[in-house]
Formats: sequence, structure tokens, C-alpha cells
Amino acid sequence: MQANRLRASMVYALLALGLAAANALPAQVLTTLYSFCTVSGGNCPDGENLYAGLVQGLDGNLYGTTYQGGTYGGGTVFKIGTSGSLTTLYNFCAVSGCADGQFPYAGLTLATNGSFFGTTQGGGTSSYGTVFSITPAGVLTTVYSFCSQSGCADGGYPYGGLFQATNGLFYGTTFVGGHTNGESPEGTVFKITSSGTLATLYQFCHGFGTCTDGSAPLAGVIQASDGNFYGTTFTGGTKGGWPAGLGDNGTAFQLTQGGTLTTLYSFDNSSSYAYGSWPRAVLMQGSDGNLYGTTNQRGANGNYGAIFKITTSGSITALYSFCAVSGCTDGANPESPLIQATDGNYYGTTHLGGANNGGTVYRITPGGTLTTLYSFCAQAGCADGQYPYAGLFQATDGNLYGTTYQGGAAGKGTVFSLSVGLAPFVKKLPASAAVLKAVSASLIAMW
Amino acid sequence: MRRDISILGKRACAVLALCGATAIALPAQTFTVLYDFCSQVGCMDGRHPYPSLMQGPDGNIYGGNCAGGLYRNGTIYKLTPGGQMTTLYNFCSQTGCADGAYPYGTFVVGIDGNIYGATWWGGTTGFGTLFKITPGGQLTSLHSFCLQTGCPDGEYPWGYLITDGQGNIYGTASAGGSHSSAGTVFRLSPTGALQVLHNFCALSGCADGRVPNGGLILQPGGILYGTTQSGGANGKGTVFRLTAQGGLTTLYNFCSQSGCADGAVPNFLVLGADGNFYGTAEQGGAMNRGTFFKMSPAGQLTTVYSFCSQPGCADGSDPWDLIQATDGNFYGITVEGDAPDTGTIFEITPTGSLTVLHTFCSGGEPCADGWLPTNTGLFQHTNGNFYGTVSKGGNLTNAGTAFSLSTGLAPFVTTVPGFAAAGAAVQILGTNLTGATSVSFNGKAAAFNVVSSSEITTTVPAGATTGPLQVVTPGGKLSSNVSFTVVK
Repeated sequence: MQANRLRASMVYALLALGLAAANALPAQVLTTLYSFCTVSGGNCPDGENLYAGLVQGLDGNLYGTTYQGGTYGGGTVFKIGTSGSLTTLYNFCAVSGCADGQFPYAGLTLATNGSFFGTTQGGGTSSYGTVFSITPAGVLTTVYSFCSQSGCADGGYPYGGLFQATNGLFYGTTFVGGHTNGESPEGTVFKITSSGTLATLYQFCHGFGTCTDGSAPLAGVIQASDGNFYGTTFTGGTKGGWPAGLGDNGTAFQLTQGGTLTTLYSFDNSSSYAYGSWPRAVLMQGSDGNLYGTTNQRGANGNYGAIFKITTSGSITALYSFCAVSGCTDGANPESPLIQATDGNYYGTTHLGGANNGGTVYRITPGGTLTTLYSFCAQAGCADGQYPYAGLFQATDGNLYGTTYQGGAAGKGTVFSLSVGLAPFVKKLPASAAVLKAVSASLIAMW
Repeated sequence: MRRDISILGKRACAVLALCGATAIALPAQTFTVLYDFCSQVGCMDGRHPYPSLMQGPDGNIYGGNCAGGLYRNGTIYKLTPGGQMTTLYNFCSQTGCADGAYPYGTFVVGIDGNIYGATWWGGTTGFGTLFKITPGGQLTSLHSFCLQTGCPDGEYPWGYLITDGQGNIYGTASAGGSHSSAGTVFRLSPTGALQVLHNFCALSGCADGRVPNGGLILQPGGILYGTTQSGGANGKGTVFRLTAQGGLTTLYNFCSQSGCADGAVPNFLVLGADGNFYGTAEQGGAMNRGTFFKMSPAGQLTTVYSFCSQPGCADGSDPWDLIQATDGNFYGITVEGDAPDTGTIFEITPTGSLTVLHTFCSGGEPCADGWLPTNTGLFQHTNGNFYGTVSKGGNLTNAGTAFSLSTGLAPFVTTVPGFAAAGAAVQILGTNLTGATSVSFNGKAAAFNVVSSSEITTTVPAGATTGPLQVVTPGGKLSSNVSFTVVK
């Protein structure tokens, strides 16, 4: 109880600080909750270098992964309270040959049973990555090892995270592999049961030659309200094509549950490059039913990336091109997806750019007005974090939480919170009244 | 990661049978996959190698990837002749990829011992860069293309840079320039000033050529030779000569013969040891699948070989890169060939006897030896062996491979630059140079310094004449692959 009260008073304090700054900017305060590699012993036993963002568990804590570090150097799964106390739940490479997975690039997905599911980019029985599940207490199960099928027909090196669909299955992508007879693979979309039965839903780059259907997805997929899956591929598509098949600018695609792929848009050889090229982040569906996403490069202002909106039928709209102001103080080269917060606005991070070229946190309205909320490296030695790769998460306390790849007290990455003055809320998880109840309970506990 | 694929077995027999008509004794040859890209988690070691390989002063092999790496926008790597991989640089580490992305063409070693190259994307405005990188991996951007409206300096350089002994870098940009975005020939001075030597499409109808993609040959006096892939009198490409003052002469217009029997869309040009130029054209010829041609310095062209003239295109089609090896024969790659159209490595004599040394993916998928040798070529290491990359295929990830091909050719030495005046510094690259006892230019002894087992620095001695350079080592006498030209 005492701890809860302390936490609450801290949040109030943050809000008060935010209000003080309200004349110039919207209420917003960034707090570095944790700096990685600040624990003694070994090489960053608490983890280092975060590509992934956070997700809130039913207990109100936030859960995430570090790409490297941990007891065995293969990365970690951690939980962190909103007050910043960190517990390492699992150290990858605890098993000989890293059969339990290595280097989790993506974050965790909260499953309807209260456990988390995720991917590692490496490790597993074939060293091409894994799907794993982990309980909030840290019991890890390796659900699947990639490239365990002949010719790596099941794909490998997943960069993206998982999405639990309405049918209870998890959907994800692999960066490479997917070879079957007559095909030259460049990644897959797969579905997998919680017990590890995997089926490849789609193999990118059909046939020898150019990958007009997309190639090398870096992001996972989402299921939209129409029941179809939507995602992006980093390369491939019908535009660019130079050098042959490799310089293609990426795609946004729709995939039916039956595995029929429709390329919604091939980025981007428009005259202005306004939609950007080479998307790296997962799409999200806004409350208006449209899909929102980011591209890492190109854009109307040079090679700095863009934010786009695309309908489920493929009609694309340019919302914002980064580096619209001198010195790219509005951010550059986003790696991360958008989230829609409870105020209806979209929030995200840019990997680079900002006032100190350490990356930014931004808000963009549905109409495309962008406000830079925070520029990293505002503190000496980038103690406030540097180069965020991951997107944000709005916890039920209303605040935004995120991670940076490096920076922080030891330069090895941070977890941060950003208060933007949004109120606490209750989050409904899909298809489980019990979950809703549990989240409500945890919310009450937090406050 | 290392696998030997002996082709002395069943497939080599098939090759011998096919080539019986040309009556060349097939030398013993070993094709070895040296490295399978995407062997590292998440393809941090890069994928899809596009730039051709080259030899650094340390005797290691340097190349680039068009994708993969830490920022997924390509890498520069170092590969030992034994296949040990080190990533030296990850492109797009700077905002907006100001440091470049997607390296292309061929890197080249400068007289300063650094490696120079081009990226076709990235840079300040996204139209490509020129860079130098130390053997230790320190990259410096030397030029960003298209900083001015209209890209008068060119855009999207295709690499294939060359250096002279004064620290200048010469190259071509495939687009941009003053006329119809037809491309440029440029020179970058040691101080970083870029001068456009020629803007293509300067003449009506682009009679002077357009899209110069085949690299350049630099001769004493600053004379450059090169090819354009289109333009010229027939729109199918040219061979050109460009003086140091910028005067361009079209030496040959492809497709001058009926049905383009003389070839079309030239790719690469090599100055042969006999003083003639040899090259490949991607299209045209008897089968319209490309040619190997010979051209005299005055521009008289002979079609020496038409590709796809063997049943099922077993001899390959669409030839790209070309080099002349120490045995005097030419070696190159074709992008396509017999089904499944995965490319070949060929050897061809100056008179046109062709031998297929390797057919990619002949064992069927998943093409463990790689496929699609697009835009990459072979180079002959001073240990005598050939090295190259293919942009796709490999064990599981279709990310491409690096390979070696040994045909039993002896070690040799090569020089940077290939010509110089007496008193000029010259770098000699070789293998097992430690303990060298003499260096001579066409018999004239020179002072030298053994820097390492793979590098000697020397100075062209007074009174030296044009001819072979020789290095005597404890292991024997090594001769330069080409005659060293002493200029006045």
C-alpha cells in the first residue's frame, strides 16, 4: 500500500511539473525510469540495447525485451513497474547453443491467457530464431524454432512481433527463408498455435526474379476489424526496381485468413516521394478504420521518412514527411509504428533527428499536424536516452512508455515514461471479460 | 559455413562434352563457396552482395552488400581468402543516410592504401555518394551527388571507380548531368572537388551516348575509355574515348550491323595485354543474347563470340563483367544461361574459344552455390585464384554467396597505379612478399620497402622503361599481371 501511495504521489508530481511547462508546450514530462547496464557484475546482466517496446501485463507492470546483454549475453525479458523497479525475468542463451532463443528484436504480445508471446531473431535449434511464451513469473517455453523445415520453408530471423488474432492463433513474419520448390524466398507470414504448430501463410518473392509481391518484412502483421491481416514489407514491390529486385521500395499488403495477398501500395516513386519508402514498422488501425504507418526513408523533404494513412482498400494519403524544418528538429528516419492514444491522436518515435539528433517522441493529429514532444539527448551524455527504435505504449495510467536503444546512465538504453496529461483509463482486451476485470483491478491498484 | 563443391565430378564431365568442339583442355578447377551471407542473426553480416570484390593492400578481399547489416541498408565487409568475414561498416548510420546506402560497382584501392567506392543511394540528398574507407573501417563521405538543382554532377553512380597515382578518382554516374539525365563522367580530386569531364547527350539524339555504366579505363595522359549502354548513332550504346581536356570521341556505335550482329548494350570494357580492347555486350550478336567483342584502339570492332550459341544456352547469355587473367584469357560472368537461368562463369580466349567454368544452381534449388551474379564480376587475387559474389541463393536465406574459383593459375603481383613516371610512388600488391630481395621495372632495379606479406612500396627508378614488373621473393619470382607503363 505504501509503495502504491508513493507511486501515486510521484505521478501527481510529474503531472504538476507538466502543468508548469504548459505555457510553452502541452503538458509533458519525460522521466527516465531505468538505465540499462547499471547493475554490477558481468557485461550488462540487466540487459542492453533495446529494439523493442513495452506492453502492460495484467498486473499493471510493463514487460519488454533487451536485444543483448543479460547473464548469457543473448538478451533478456524484463518487467518494470511504472515507478522504475526492474526485474529480469529471463536470460536468453541459458541453454546450450542458445536453443532457448537469442536476441529478441521484437517486443512481447499479451495473450488472452495473461502470458506473453514473442520472437527471438536468433537461437533456437537451427539458430534462425524462435517463438517463445513466457509467464509473468518468468517461466519461458520455446514454442517453435525457425528453419526447422527442409530448406527453411518455415522462414527465419523474425524481426517482427506476434499478433494474437480473434481465432486465438498468433501471426507473425520472418525476414528470410520460406523456400519451397520453384520459389526464391524472401521472408514469410506465418501463423502459429500457442502449442507450436506453425503454418506458413504466405511466402514473399514468388518465383525467380524480382519480388513484386514484396520481400523481407521487418514488421509483423495486425488483424484489422474486417478480419484480414495487414502488414508491410521492407523491400520488394513494383516500384524502384533498381538495382533489380533489391532497391524496390517496399509494400503495404493485405492478407486474408486464407492466405491471399493483395499489395495495397508499392512505395514510392511518386513525384514527391511523399509517402516515403522502405517501411520498417507494423501498421496500426485507427479508430476511423484506416491503417496508419511510417516509412523509414524518402519522403517529401529528402531521405528522412514519412507518416502515411492507407485504407484497407489501398487508398494512401501522406500525413507528414519528416525533416520539414531545418536541422530535422522534428525528427527523422522513424523505425517505429504509431499508437493511437486515448485523446484520439497518434504518437510515435523517430530514431534520429530532433533538437539533439538523438531521436524524438512526437504526436500527430489525424489531420497530420505534428508536434515534437521530446527530443532525446537533451541531457549531458544522452542520459535521457538516445535513438529509440521502438514505438510507444500507453499504459492504463494514461502515460506513454517507451524505450531507447542506447543512451541512459550507462549508454546502453533506457525505459522512459512521458506524461502528456492524459487521464487513466480502462483497457479492454479482446475476447476475455476476465482480462478486462483483471486490468481494471490492476489499474485501481496502480492508483 | 565453408563448403567445397567439386565440379570435377559428374557436372564437369558434361561441361567437357559440351566444350569438346572448342578443343580446350579444361584445367583442374575448384569452385568453393567461401561465405554464405545472412549467416549471422538477422543478416547483420549483410545480404545481396552487389559490388564486385577487390583486393586490399592487406591481401584481404573487400566487398559490399546492398542490403542487410545493422541498419539494413548495406555493409562493407572484409573477407580473408580463406572465407573469414568481418563487417567493416554499416550504411545509414547517419540521419537521412547521409553516409550513403547500397554500395555499388567495384571498390578500388588508392595510392594512400584506403579503399574508394560509391553508393547509388543515400548521401545528403539521396542520389548517391563517393566514399573512402580505411582497412580498419573508418568511412569518410567524399561527395554527395545532386546537391544542386538538376544534378549537374550526376546521380546514382554505378561505382567501377578507378584511381590514378595522384589521388584522383574517376567514375561515371548513370544519370543526372546537364542533358536529359543521361549521366556523366567525373573526376574527384584529392581535395574533394568534383569535376564533370563529360555530360552525355551533349549531341543531338544523344549521339555521344547515354547511361555510362561499364566503368572506365585510364591511360597515360589522362585519356579515358568507356562504354555507354544506350545512345550513339543507333541508340544501342557506344565505346568512347575521352581526353583529359574533356574531348569525347565515339569509337564505336553498336548495332551498326543488321540485326545488331555486332552486339548491343555494351557492359564492360578491358584493355587487353595486346593493346586491343575487349568487352561484353549484353544484347545483340548472332543469337541476340550478347557478345564478346574485340576493338582496335582506332575503333575497328570484331564480334569474337555470340552467347547462347550452344544448345540450351549452356554457354550462358547476357554477359556482364569481364577481366583478363594472368594466362591471357578473359574471364567473366553471364547473368542468365541454361534453365533455370541462373548465370555462369566463363573463360574465353582472345580468339573466341569459350569454356563454361561454372554454372550456378546446377544442382537445383535451393542453389547452395548462389545464383544471379548480376552486376558483379570476378577478380583475380594475387594468389592466382578468382573471387566473386552472387547476389542471391546460398544455403537457406537466398542472401547470396561469395565464392572462389581456382583454375591453377600461379601467384603474381599487381601495381597501384598501373602507370607512372620515374620517381613516382608505386604500391605493389601480392602474396607471400615477406623477405623479398629485389623489385625491378622491366629489368631496372628499384628501391623498395616490404610493408607486409601482401604489400611492397617502391619508386619508379630513373631510366626505367615500360615492361613487366618483377619481385623476387624467397618463394620465387613474381611478375606483374600486366606490363607497367613508364610515362615521361
